[in-house]
Amino acid sequence: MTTSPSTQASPSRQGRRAASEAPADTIAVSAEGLRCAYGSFEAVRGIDLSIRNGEFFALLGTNGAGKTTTMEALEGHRRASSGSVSVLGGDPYSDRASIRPRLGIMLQEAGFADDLTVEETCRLWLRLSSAHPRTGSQAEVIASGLEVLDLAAKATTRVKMLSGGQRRRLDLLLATANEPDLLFLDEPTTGLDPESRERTWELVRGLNDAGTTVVLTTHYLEEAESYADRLAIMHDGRIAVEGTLPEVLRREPSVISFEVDASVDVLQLGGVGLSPDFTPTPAMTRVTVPSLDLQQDLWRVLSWAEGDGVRLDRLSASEASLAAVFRRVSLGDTA
Amino acid sequence: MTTLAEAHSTPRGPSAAGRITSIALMELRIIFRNKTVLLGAVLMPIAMAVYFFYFGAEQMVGPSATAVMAGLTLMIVALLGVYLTATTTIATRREELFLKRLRSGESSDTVIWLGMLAPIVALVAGQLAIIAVGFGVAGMDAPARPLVVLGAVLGFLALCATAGMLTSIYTPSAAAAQITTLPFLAVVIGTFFWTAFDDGFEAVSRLTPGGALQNLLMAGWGATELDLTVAGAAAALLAWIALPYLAAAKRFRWEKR
Repeated sequence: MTTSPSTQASPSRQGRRAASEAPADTIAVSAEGLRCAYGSFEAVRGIDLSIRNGEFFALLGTNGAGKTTTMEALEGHRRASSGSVSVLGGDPYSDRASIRPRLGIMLQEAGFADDLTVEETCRLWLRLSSAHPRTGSQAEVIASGLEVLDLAAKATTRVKMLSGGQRRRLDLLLATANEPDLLFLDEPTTGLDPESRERTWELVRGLNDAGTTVVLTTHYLEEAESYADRLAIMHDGRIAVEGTLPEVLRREPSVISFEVDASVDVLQLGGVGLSPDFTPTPAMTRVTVPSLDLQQDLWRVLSWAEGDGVRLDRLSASEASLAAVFRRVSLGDTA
Repeated sequence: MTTLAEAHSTPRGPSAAGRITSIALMELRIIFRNKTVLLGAVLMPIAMAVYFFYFGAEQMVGPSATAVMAGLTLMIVALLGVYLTATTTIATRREELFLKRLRSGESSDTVIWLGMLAPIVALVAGQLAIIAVGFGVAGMDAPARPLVVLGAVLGFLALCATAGMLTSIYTPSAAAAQITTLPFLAVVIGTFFWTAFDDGFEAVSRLTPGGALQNLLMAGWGATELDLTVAGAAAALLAWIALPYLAAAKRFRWEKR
């Protein structure tokens, strides 16, 4: 499946992209036929992907779907078994020296030298980076960053004394230290409390607003819904669904559900063009109607009920959700 | 928005030497903060060398005996101080996922390796310098060809470092290093003594890691001539530095299994 960027960008995104140094219509990340294997096990089974400069792209999927392996191939940590990958115009594995200064990488799992303090860790990272403070000394820059992620009080604490959430925030701090052109975030908010998550997204959105391309994996679907321009859902090493949120949801049926008296013949709904699923009990029948046109199908249900004098209890109509798409994909249904 | 580095990427970043220095200084800082590591890396090798000196000095008369004494001391200090520490350090950093962290940055693989190993080698080189002064003060003969000895020492330190890199690949944790380092320790010490025997296999024994070192030290203290045999030993030592490095570079693991 070839997944090209959507040709339409939302107004807010256009505003963000204006700030980017790279033209918005150029490609930051692309993969064609990407495959990655661990011995005989193929974790990624042929992915085509294209992410534009300035875009916020979310890669979703169940555990073991191949997200992290895909991310590591895009980051240059892992050589693809076959297929091609291009990141900021180069091969992330073989052109690491030229590409890495423009990347920020927050790995799903990466450690620290536990006997260094938070401040020493930041200082070491900046010394290894091509980033040069735009304003102020390195010490001021570190102090400012620690403040933003609420780590200032921990500056002189050894990393081994930090909590999981604090380590994750330090992780983010290092990934964003060089104000990267392209930021990879692999489950950045896992284990964070709500306030820390908010701070994390404030920082990431700020970078994205300034033109940084963001590639995110997360298990929090609401984060993808809130921040991503486009998203893809992986299953079993392949991209099963991809597009903007409206595009993805358009393919997922909404659901109308209600209960009727057990004596009602719900199969009559077939006569008005609906395909109900129903669960009979001695007292009543629970009915769910999948719908690709919620307004029209709801109208049909109500007309049928009124025409036949049927009482609809516990009537509800819910639009398609990313969670529903995700559940369907995780069951292996990619239709 | 404020970020850690209200920073701006420029084409000119720190040099490779600058990055190596930064990583090396970090490693030194960690070594000096960890009393157990400090004890293992600094005090133990010196203590063992002093032990050897006091109990073996009276038998070390003449160039051959001096070269053997120097070789034994070098082996113990370098094997414990560089080989064992390098294996343990790399395994620990891998276990902590710090190697993976470093590799997610801009530094090349070689820079990271050199940064990790340089302080370990430098520390031991410093220890050896102090021990050499101590030996001199105690009346041990100075080498007749100091440059050969210097080359042998530096070469052996490099060999211990690259062998540590290689061994770390098969070392899942710092504790496991107590086991995984044994084969190399046995090979080096065994082959060092093997060269002392006139068993008809000298052409082979001098090509081994310990044998190459022994031959170079013998030549360095003037116990043997500086001939093609010594050149062969030097080439063998270089090969023993390069082979583990190439193998490690090819198979190196940046994260735990």
